[in-house]
Amino acid sequence: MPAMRRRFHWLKRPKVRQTMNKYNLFNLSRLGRIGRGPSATFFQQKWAAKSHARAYHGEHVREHWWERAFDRHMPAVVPMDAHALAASDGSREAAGRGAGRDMHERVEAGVDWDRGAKGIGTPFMNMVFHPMERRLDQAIFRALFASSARQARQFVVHGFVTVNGKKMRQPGYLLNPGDMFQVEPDRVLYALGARKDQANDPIHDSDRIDNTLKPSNNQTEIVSDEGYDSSFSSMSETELAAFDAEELEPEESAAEDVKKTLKDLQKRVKNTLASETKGLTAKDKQRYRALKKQLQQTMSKASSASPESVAELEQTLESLDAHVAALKAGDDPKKVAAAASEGAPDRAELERLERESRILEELKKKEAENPYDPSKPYLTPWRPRDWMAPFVFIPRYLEVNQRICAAVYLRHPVARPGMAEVPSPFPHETHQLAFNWYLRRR
Amino acid sequence: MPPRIGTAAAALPGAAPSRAANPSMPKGGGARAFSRSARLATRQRSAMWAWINGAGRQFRRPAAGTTNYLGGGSNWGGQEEGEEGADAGGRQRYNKFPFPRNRHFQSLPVLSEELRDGIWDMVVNRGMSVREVSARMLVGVERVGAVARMKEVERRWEKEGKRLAHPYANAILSMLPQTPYKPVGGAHPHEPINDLPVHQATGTQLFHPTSESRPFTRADAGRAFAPSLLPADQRIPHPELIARERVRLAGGSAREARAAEQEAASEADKLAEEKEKKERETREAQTRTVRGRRWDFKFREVNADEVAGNERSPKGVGWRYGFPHEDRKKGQVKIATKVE
Repeated sequence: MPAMRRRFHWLKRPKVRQTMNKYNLFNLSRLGRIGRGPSATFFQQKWAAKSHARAYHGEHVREHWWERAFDRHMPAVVPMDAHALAASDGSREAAGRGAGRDMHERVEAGVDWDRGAKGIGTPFMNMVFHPMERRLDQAIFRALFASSARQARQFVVHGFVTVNGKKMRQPGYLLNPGDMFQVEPDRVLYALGARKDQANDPIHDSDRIDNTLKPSNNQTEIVSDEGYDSSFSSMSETELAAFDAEELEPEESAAEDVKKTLKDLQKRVKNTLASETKGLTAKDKQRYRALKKQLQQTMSKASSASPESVAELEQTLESLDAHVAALKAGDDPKKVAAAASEGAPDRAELERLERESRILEELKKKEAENPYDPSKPYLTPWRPRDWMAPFVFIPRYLEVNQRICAAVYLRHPVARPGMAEVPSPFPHETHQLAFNWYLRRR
Repeated sequence: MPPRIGTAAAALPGAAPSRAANPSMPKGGGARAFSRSARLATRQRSAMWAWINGAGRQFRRPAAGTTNYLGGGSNWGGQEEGEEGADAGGRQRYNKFPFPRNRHFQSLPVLSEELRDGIWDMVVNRGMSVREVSARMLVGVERVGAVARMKEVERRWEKEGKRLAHPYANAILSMLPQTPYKPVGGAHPHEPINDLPVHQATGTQLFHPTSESRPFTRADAGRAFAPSLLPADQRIPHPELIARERVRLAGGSAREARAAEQEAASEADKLAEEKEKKERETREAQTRTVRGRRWDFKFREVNADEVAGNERSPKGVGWRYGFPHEDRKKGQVKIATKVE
């Protein structure tokens, strides 16, 4: 493997690389014409094109390896329509000296349709680097198990990757259709998670995606860094919508508010239990204690406590207080208890308690799935790394199961009308020139 | 090499961005302003930080439930038209071009978790064949097999109590377009399921004189290109769908069409099975297995002349007179070509 370039993400003469780096994103965003354009000689154009293309496609692979792997045949497919195949055996299209004698009239009359798909060409040239996509390290990067192709290679070399259940330490292993490869989930979480030192990363207001720019994404806002993990991973849209109300407040205040409210509630429960020991029935005391326990539990994982759950707890406390006040006023505990138990309010309270326990269960599940664990080399609770979203796509020749960090290489990448499956930032012309460069000795 | 005075002098005070204007610059950049070895921000670098803190900031965090790719115009502020919002069918429209300069590469939807569960349920619990599930759910044959295979591993992990990467899965799926699960009615098409691979023999232009008095079909065209090239009807993954369509075109009922489809499917499956069985039997007949303590030793009779058809071929095996072993030479690739 060639050593890492000294100027890997260079701003002066930018080359797009296979990484999820923000410098790379900037270089990608201003990727324009490759080389000097039409004023350059053919050789110069080819040189610039292959230089840029190779800087992206398998930059860590020796040129000799690539020259041997290069294949001038571009794999392609044509989607077939079962109905059209059943309707004719092809003789109609072949009649009239191969032009289809009455095809033109039939298409115009609307009896038949234009099967040639003449409007859409197949971009064969975009498939120049298809042999590269067969490499194991490339496939790992494409399946989003590593943040760069070099990191994917390192995972293989360090023994974190299995192919069909067997450890594979060769990054240059060429996957066969049907091969299942798997990366240790901890490595994947490390590669694509936020860094540990980003726990208290300040987020500016301009970090938020501007709603005026993206009208359909008004539920993408993230309240705080702490709220971010839980909200990102498992909050429903309605829950997120509830957060929108607090959008204008500063980030940190939401989480702090939650904590403060919880503390207040705890104090109130404590005071009631201390001051009104005599006025309370045994059942009421039990209820207060249960509430106190719940509050403590919620406090211990304030990072994942949602404002709704806190509001629910607050409501419970208020209803309990009201109940006790009614008891005091009526002076007959049994009567008040009976009045409370026979009417709807008690049922409502039960329902609320049930809802609360459900919310708590959900919180517990979230916590279990994405716990705080300082022993991990990445930020916990886990959240995706910054500047990652523009690089997130999965090509069709892979099928990925993210939960077990495994993927199957279904088939070799192919071109089809209007589409090529090899991911590449470069346009058709650049690929054509690079193709011509590698064609010269063959 | 001593520090160059030229580079420090070249950077004008106005060109270096101030820390007040650029909060993301490394700390201490301003404090070392008089140091000769200080790294001064170049114009390129300040432009980058301006973009990162300005128009590019929208790409820092994912846009929940949709893609957040560089759009053609939106990289520098302003949304590209017609790329967001919902279409007439109610499915979410999204920016599908991760590379603004390459319009031939699209980020296509992936299977949603519900759809994966549905496919696994059909294959494992309901015992449907992979081919059937593929035709019903409009998902490629290989993909159906892969989904079922990986779901099995996932379930095994769950049973073993291994921690699954749920937060990672949720995050990635929320950044990607997804094909939703539709258990009743027609499924949402995920991909074209009847792809015909372009055969290399058909890549060249061919002048083939035929008689105009007799029909020239697809099968004839295949034979004209290469003697062994089968017509498209037999090379696509779902030939049974053609049988179904034939019955429909002849005016048959839905039930008849379904019966024809099933018959064709079972026939194709039987043929494939027979072929596989034959191959396996030939392989077994040629191999002699000796059971070892840890490994089984498998022996096969090989004739160097027969392997490559010619005793001088480099593909031949074993020691041959005049042919040195090359496997200790530099540059011989010894990476496995398959893992079973």
